[in-house]
Parts: sequence; C-alpha cells; structure tokens
Amino acid sequence: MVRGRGLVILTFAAVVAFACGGGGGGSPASKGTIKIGSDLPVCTTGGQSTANGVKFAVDQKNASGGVNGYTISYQSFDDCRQAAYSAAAGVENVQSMLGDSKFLGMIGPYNSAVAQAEIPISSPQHFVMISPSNTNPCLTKEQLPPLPPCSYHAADLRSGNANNYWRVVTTDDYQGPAMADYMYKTLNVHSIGILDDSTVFGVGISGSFETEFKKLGGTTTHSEYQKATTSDWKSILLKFQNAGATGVYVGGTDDQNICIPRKQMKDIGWNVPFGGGDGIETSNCIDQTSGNEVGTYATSAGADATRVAGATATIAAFRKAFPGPNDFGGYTMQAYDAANALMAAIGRGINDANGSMPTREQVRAEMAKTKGFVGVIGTYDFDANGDTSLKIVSIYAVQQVSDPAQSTGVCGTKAATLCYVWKDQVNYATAA
Amino acid sequence: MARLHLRERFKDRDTAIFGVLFLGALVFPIVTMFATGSSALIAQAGHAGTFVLLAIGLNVVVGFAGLLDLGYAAFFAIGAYTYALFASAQLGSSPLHHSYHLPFWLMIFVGMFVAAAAGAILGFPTLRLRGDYLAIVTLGFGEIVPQLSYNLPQWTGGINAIGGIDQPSLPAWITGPWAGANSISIIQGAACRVIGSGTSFAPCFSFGFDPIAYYALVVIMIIAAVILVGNLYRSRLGRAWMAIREDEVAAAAMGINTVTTKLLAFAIGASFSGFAGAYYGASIGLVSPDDFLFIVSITVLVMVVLGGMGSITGVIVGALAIYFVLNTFLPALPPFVENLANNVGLGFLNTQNGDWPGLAQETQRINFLVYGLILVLMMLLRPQGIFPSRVREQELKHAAVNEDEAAVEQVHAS
Amino acid sequence: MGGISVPDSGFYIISAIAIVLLGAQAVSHPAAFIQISIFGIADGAMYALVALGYTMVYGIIELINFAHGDVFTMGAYIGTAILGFFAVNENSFTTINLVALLLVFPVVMLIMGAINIGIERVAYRPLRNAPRLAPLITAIGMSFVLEGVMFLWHGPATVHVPDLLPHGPGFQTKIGGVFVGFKDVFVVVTAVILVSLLAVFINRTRLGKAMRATAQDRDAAQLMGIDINRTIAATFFIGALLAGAGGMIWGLYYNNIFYNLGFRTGLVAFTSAVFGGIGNIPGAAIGGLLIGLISAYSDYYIGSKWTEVVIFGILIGVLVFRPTGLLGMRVPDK
Repeated sequence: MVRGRGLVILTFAAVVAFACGGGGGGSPASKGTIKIGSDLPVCTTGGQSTANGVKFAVDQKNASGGVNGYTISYQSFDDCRQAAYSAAAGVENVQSMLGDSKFLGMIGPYNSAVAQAEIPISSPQHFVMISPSNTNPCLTKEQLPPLPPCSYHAADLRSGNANNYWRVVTTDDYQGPAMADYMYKTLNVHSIGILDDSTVFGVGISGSFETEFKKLGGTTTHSEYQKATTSDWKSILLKFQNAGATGVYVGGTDDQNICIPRKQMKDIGWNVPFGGGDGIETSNCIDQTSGNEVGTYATSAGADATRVAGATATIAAFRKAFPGPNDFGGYTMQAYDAANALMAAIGRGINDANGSMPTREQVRAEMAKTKGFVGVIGTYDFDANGDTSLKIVSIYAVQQVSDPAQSTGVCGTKAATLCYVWKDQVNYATAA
Repeated sequence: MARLHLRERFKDRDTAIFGVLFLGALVFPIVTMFATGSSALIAQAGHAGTFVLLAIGLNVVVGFAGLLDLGYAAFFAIGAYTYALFASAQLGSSPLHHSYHLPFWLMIFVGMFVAAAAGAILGFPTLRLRGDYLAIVTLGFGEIVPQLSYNLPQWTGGINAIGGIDQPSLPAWITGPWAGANSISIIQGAACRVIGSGTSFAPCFSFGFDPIAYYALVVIMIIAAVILVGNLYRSRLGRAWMAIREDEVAAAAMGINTVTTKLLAFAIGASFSGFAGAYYGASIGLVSPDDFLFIVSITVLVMVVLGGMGSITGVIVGALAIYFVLNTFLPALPPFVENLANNVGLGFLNTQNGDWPGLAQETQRINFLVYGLILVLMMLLRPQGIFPSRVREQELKHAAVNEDEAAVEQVHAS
Repeated sequence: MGGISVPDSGFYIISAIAIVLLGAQAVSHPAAFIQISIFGIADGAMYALVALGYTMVYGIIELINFAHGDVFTMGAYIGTAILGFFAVNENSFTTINLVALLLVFPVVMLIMGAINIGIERVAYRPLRNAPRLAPLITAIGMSFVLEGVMFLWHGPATVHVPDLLPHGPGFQTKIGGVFVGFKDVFVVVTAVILVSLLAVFINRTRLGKAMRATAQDRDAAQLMGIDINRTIAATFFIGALLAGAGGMIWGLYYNNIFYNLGFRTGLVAFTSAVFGGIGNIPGAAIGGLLIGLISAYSDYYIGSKWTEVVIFGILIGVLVFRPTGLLGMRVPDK
C-alpha cells in the first residue's frame, strides 16, 4: 500500500517534469565543491536515519550559502552488503573517498567493528572521520579495570599517525552504568537478566552494565542471542525468570530485533522493567514491543533536546523535512552535529588555505582544535583521543503522551502516542 | 575429425580468455590510475581477487568432482583465522599469553595446509554420504565454524574480531613502481622480522594498506592457483574426479578409489580458501566472524555455477562478474539514479516526501530484487554458465542430440 | 559404493544419553521442563509446516528450493496486508477478528500457491534438463527476488502483524507453574490439522498418488500417463499452501515479521526436513518438531549462543550414523 503511493508520486512527478521542461533554480556563484561522505549501513533503519541527519545538516548549510563560498556535496556510501554491515565494504568505501581528492572528511562509520577496519586506512591520509554512533571505548582509549582490557589498541589502529577519528557520542562505559544505577536505585531492580545481541555494541554495553550492576550489589544472569538464529526468546526469558530476575537489560539494537523479547515477555505473562541502551531508543523498537510498550527504558548518549537551548527548533525543522516514521532515529541528531562539526572545521581549513581548497591535513588539524562546539545534543570539546567532553547520559521511558509532535524522544509508528519520555540525566563530566 | 576441431576451438577459446584476463590484469591499474587518478578501483579489484581465489578452489570441489559444498566459507574462515592468530597480538590476550608475528609468506602456506586438513577431517566420515546429504553436512559445518569464532572470544576475539593484523613485508630491494605510489614512504628503518624473534636482517618495506601492492600480490596468487589447478585438472587425479562426477559406480569399477579421490578434491578445494583467507586477513587488517556466514558460501557457489562449473576461465569471469554486481554496480546505483534524475529535471524525486523515501533510498531498496533477477535471468539464458568447460559443453551438445537420454540421466543424477 | 558401514548403535547411544540428561531435568524441575517443551513444540509445529514444502519439492525434483523460506515470509506479509482491510481489535476478540482470521488463511494460502506455481514455471521448469546446480542458483535468485519485493514494500524495519488471536489474562492459564496461552494451542492445533489434511491428500487422492509415483520414478510415471508438469506444479502449489499458512501462523503468534525472516527459518526448516529424512513427509513433520524442541532445550539448558552449534552438530551426527535421516528409507546404492 505504502509503496503504491510512492509510485503515484513518481508518475505524477514525471508528468509535471515534462510539462515544466526541467529548469532548475540558479544558485549563487560558488567557488567550487567540497565533498563530504558518510559510511553508514543505510540498508537498516538505524543507518538510514543517521544518514538523514547528515543530509539535513548539509542541505541547511548549502541553503545558507555553503561553507566560505564552497558548496558542500554530500555522498552517502553504504557499508551494507547483502543486508548486513560489512567491514570489508566499509574499507572499500573509505578507499573510494580517499581516491577522490575533493573528499575532505566523512561521517561514520556506524558500527565500531567497521571503524576498527577503517581507521588504519584513513589515518595515514589524515582523513577526518567523525562517528555519530561508535560507542566501543577501545577505539579511542584503553578500558580500565574492572572492565576487561581491550583486545586491540587505539594507538595500533593509527600506527603513529596523528589522530583523525572523533566521535560525538559518549562510550558504552557511561551508558551501561547509567542504566544500571537507574534500574538498581530508582526502579529497585536488584536481580536482573542481561541479554545481548552478540554485536560489538551489544556485548560492550551489556558488559559495562553488568560490571556496574554487580558493583551496586545486584545479581545478574547473562545470555546472548544472534539475530540470524533466534526468533523465540521465551526460553531465555524463562531462564531469567527462574533465576529470580525482576528486570531485563538488553544490550543491542532494534535492527537485531532486540525489542521483540519485550513483546514475548507479555506472552509468558512476565511484567518487569525492560531497559537498554540507545540502540533501543527508536521507533522500530517501540513497534517491536507491539502491545507491551510501557515499561521500556532506554539511555541516550547526550542531553535531551529540552535541556539544550535551540535544539527543539532544529528537531522540529528536521521532522518537517523528513516526516517519515523511521526517518528520525537515536543517532540522527548526533550525525547532524558531527556533520556540522566537520563543516566548521572545513570552513576554518579554507581560511588557513587563504580561501582556496584546504588539504586533508589542514581540515584534520582544524578538527582537532574544535572547542566549545555548540550542537543539538549539547556544547562540547574533543580530547586528544577524539572523545567528546560531553558525558551526559539521558534516561527515557516509554509512556503515553498527548501530543507526539512535541515529544523529544521518538514515538512508535503504529502506536503513535507511545513515546520515549525524558526521565533523568547523569553527567559523568561533573561526576568524575 | 569434427570432434577434434571442436576441441581445438575450445582450447583456443580458453587460451584467448586467459590472454585477455592476463592483459586486462596488467593494464587495469595503469588505466584506472590514469583515468580516475585514484586507487579506489584497484583496491576493489584486490578484494575481488579474494573471491576469485575462493571460486577457483570451490570449482575443484563442485566443478571437477561434482560434490556440492554449501559451507565453503568455513574453510575461508579457517584460513583467515590461522593467519590472524599468528600474525597479530591476539594470542597474547588468549590463554597462551604469548603473541606470534609469523611472516605472511610462511602463513599463506600454513593457512593452506590447515584449511586442507580441516577439509580432510570433515570429509573423512561424511564423504560416503550420497549426493545432497553431503551438501547438508557442509552446510552444517559452515554454520558451526563462525559460531565457534563468535563463542570462543578468549581465542578468536569473538565479535570484537581480530584487528591489528600484520601486513606482508618484503626486503626493500624488491620494491618498485608496481608496489604502489607510496611504497617509498613506507620504507622504514624497520626490518623484516625473522621467524620467532624480533632480530633484524634486512631493511624492509611493508605493504601497509597500499591497494596497488595487494593488487599485484593477488594477481600473482591467482596466476599460481590457475597453473596449479590447471595441471591438477589434466592429471590422473583430474580425470578421476571427472569420472566420479559422471558416474561414481563406473569409476569405482574402473579401479578408482572413490573415497580417497573425493577426499583429495575436498582437501585441495579447501586449501585454496585457506590461501584466500590469509590474503583477506592481511588486506583488510581485520578478521571478524561476520565475514564468513552462510551468505558467503552461497555467493561463491553462485560465482562458480554462473561462471561455468568445471571451467577455470569460467569461474574467474563468474567471480569477477558477481563481485562487480554486488560491490560496484549495486552500491553505485542509487547515486547514479539520483544524478540521472537531477540531469533530466526530475530532481525533486530525490527529496523524500511522505511515504516516498527519496529516489536514492528507493533504488537502494531495490538492490535485492535486481541481484535476484540478474541471477535468475543469467541462469535461464546460460544454464551451463558463462563459459562452460569444454568437456561439459561437448557433453551437453551430445546430450541435445539424444534428449531422452539426458532426461533419464537427470533422474538418476544424484 | 559400499563405504564404511557404521552401525546404528552409535546413533542410539547418543539419543539415549540425550534422553537421560533431559529426563533428569524433567524430574528435578518438571515445571520448567514442561514449559520449555511447550515453547519448543509451538516453534517446531511452524518449522514442520515449512519443512514439508522442502521435503515434497526435493522428493519430486531433487531441488533444494531456497526460495521456499521466503514464500513463507511472503505469506505473512500478504496476510498482514489483507488484515489491514479489517477493523480488527487487538485488545479483545471480536466477531470481526474471527471473520478476518477465517478469511485470511484460505486467501493467503491460495495466493502463495499461485505465486509458487509461477516461480516454478518461470525459474525451475525451463531448467529441468539443465545441469543439476542451475535450478539451485535460480532458487537462490528467486529467494533474493522475494526478499527484494518485501524489502521494497516495507523497508528494513519489522512489520507489525495485528495481535488478533485471543490473548491476555483471560486466555492464559497457569497449571502447576506451567503457563499455557491460547496462542500455543492454536499453533499446534492448526499445524496438526494441516498436516493431517496433507497426509489424506497424499495417500487418498489421485493427484497425491501421481505425486508419489513421480517422486519414485519420473519416467515410469510418465509412461503410466501421468502429466509430469502438472504433478510438479501441484507439488509446488501444495508446498506453498503450507508455507503460506505457516507464515500467517508465525505472524499471528509472534506479531513481528521482517523481510529476511525466511532466510533463517527456511534454513532451519530445511535442516528439519533432512533430519527427518528428506523426501519423507512424516519425517519432515517429526524433524521440524524435534528441531523446535532441541532449540528450546538448548536455549534453556545449554545457552542460546550454542544452540546453532547444537542443532547442526546433531544434524551432522545423525547423518554420519544414519545417512538417510531419522525416517529416511534405506535405498540401495546404485
């Protein structure tokens, strides 16, 4: 049905186009084109909604005259191969960008495993990578005990080159503990079943959750699954229930079906809080819980839009430009910020190059100097490793709202009035 | 007489294709560097080389010996992990507490032998299974191997993969323009490592992630593989494989030890994926269980069948064609359509509107459909593959004369 | 060829050990064991419906029909679209729900049957005398085509299937610590009805007899005046009826479907068919049920990350000891 309407629009559009005989609007004279790319798994809702954030930022920038007279051209590279992200595809995309000297930076990748393969290739060329969503701590720093040590090291990835990798999100080692504190202290869950989706993200975030939860004195039961092999979680949930758990924490993302267990909890008549990371703060997740939405809690890396001046307006503008139900995701605004930070660095790079096209190294050096960047998710700097100074984690819960258009958290597509509502925030920058 | 002419002609055809492929391989990097000024396409071609090696190996099992293998990616994984474990810091954090950095040039052969041994171990109890039951066993094996690498993180790094894998290095005097534009800058004071110790003996340059160096390497590996397989095919063993493929009972009656012969096909086929695995680990620098799932086995099988089972030129062309479709054609489609729409004045289609997700995304969503249609149409148009093997083609020609016979054979083929 | 003759005893010993270990669990924690068994049987019933299609097609043309799993998913997608025309109530069971349910099953089954006949006509029939692996590749291709259609239709996100079977506290009971919902009963009963109908069809009707004859010896069947093309088309039709119904049941049971659901489900169902002895209809049903149970037990007792290894390990073990599957016939080697 949905696609049908698309085709009607296509046909109509074709007729109109022939009637008008083309004719694009004249844009103001531009000094040239600078390209930025993104490397995201756009075959998934998460990847596509993130790419939308970049596209929105670039469109906004070009509409207001581009960057110091240059038009920014954005190209979205897809690191999906046959419907799943692939590190090899990511490597090829980065090599494509590196091969074109007009590319001065990229947004992405989406998955930490892809970043692990891409950083060694981009760093010798000083090519700026800003990830909106990589939360694996090992990409930029070492994991401190009691967490297990990193199996690879950030310095090895860069092999002696200056840092070319930044991320606008806080790492798993903040998101997991934030939810552990919230569930243990606020929701009074003292025994929990932990489920991860066997992805780098899921394993990492559930590990940091588990460490903190045990530190608080709670007991845990851990289990994992893979999207490719699991569609029935009831046996796992029963195992948690029989182990005495009074809550479930999931480390994973909606495109790995991580929220379907929430629905199956209802099928086995087990109603306890269900928490997760930013991978479940999505419309698709609310849809997956179909009928058992309330009682779902999620963290988000960054401050809620209502707590940052001007953010609500940007989100509203985005929603107007991208009205589709899955267009706005957990990383859309992070990608928007990342793209703006990159374009700001390119702008300063142009100044360094006296108005002409800057080199990649100039952009990289300027990116490293980013200070007090004002973004939608907060105002922040980057440290020498490329990590953001913004260490705010927000906590959301799914609730019934009266006006979904005003909601700063995402809402369901089927159950449109059930949205993530902001509950609390933890600032690890001040706590530390 | 007519038969002989036919054979001559096919021989010429294969020689001609080899010639074209070889010349193409030589000219390709020069032309692309000249035309695009970028090594991106060469990098892609280098990655495609992995699949060419895999297709050549699977062709031994499926094309020569007629054994259906649905879990070939498992051997690829075994080869890649063998290299990754002994050429990275991974084993240092394993229960062994000691990391090894063995040279690439040694490890490609170790990878080969380990994969071949795995093939033999799997094959030994199962090769007596008839027909497609063997396919199911290989499928099961193909499912189990990546699961083990997910589930044993203390050894394989699990989902976090093995990163920081060593790149091949060569003594500095071998470096040249073919070794890549930036090979000069890669020459360091560092030296080639001697096995087992860190002592130096010669100044070295590392391949780094230079696409041209890998391209040169993989072309050499493919040439070596083609020569090896070509000789095997013409050998006594090759004829035994063919005999088994056509009629196992008759082959056994002629005195061929069918179990050993099939086992050899399995092991030799697997060894090429071990070869490919080591190359893959070095060129990507990351070995993750995600890279060896069932879909990889299926893709390589498609390359072999589509190219022409049993024909070495056929599977090379098949591998290149499918790799091109999957990794260049399909990903390039959305931006291409978007630009096209802009140029013909349909640019507003590109912006998304209500249920219409934008032309680029719509095209991106159509990828699956296009790939599926390509497979179906290609197979319908050329059921015996793009370049079928000469022997096969003659058989088919022969069979066409006597169609009833072919139908009977089809029923009994198992 | 003769090969090494492995006695069945190895197979029986392994089965006995597994049964003893499970039996110990059943005695020590009966409630959990029965609960897990219920989950496993419900899943297994759905696998069985898909496995039947694989086994029938394989039995008759020796083709591993990779597209079959996607026919199953497509059934759920089309069923969901049809349910969209009804004002179904997800919170209580209304007359509209009942009407929608009674209508959606036959419609989805017939549509899927027609689609599968089309697939056979376009992608497999022209290749009937081609090299043996050619139809395997078109089957893989058709699998991508079907997934592509569903991807284009709803994108990568999960699709919600209305939860219109009676559910909620009124339709769930807890007997001695074991939780049974109406949905579980529904899945099993529907599957049993469908499999019984199939058995009657295969054994009692003329077409069923023709299918069995064609599977046994195509040429002899043809000589006896059986229309081979019609019989093969009928096999695909019936396989798709079951897969379509299976997809719909899956959707109503889990309420979440996605475009590549069939890839994995198909693989498991095919494994079930092999497990039971490919080409053997009761074998596929029993194989499906066993795989469902084994996954559920493995999820609970061993850990879900090992389930895949357990299933395929058992599969390889069974084939090594009993090369033709559990119920497969001992065909003399040619």
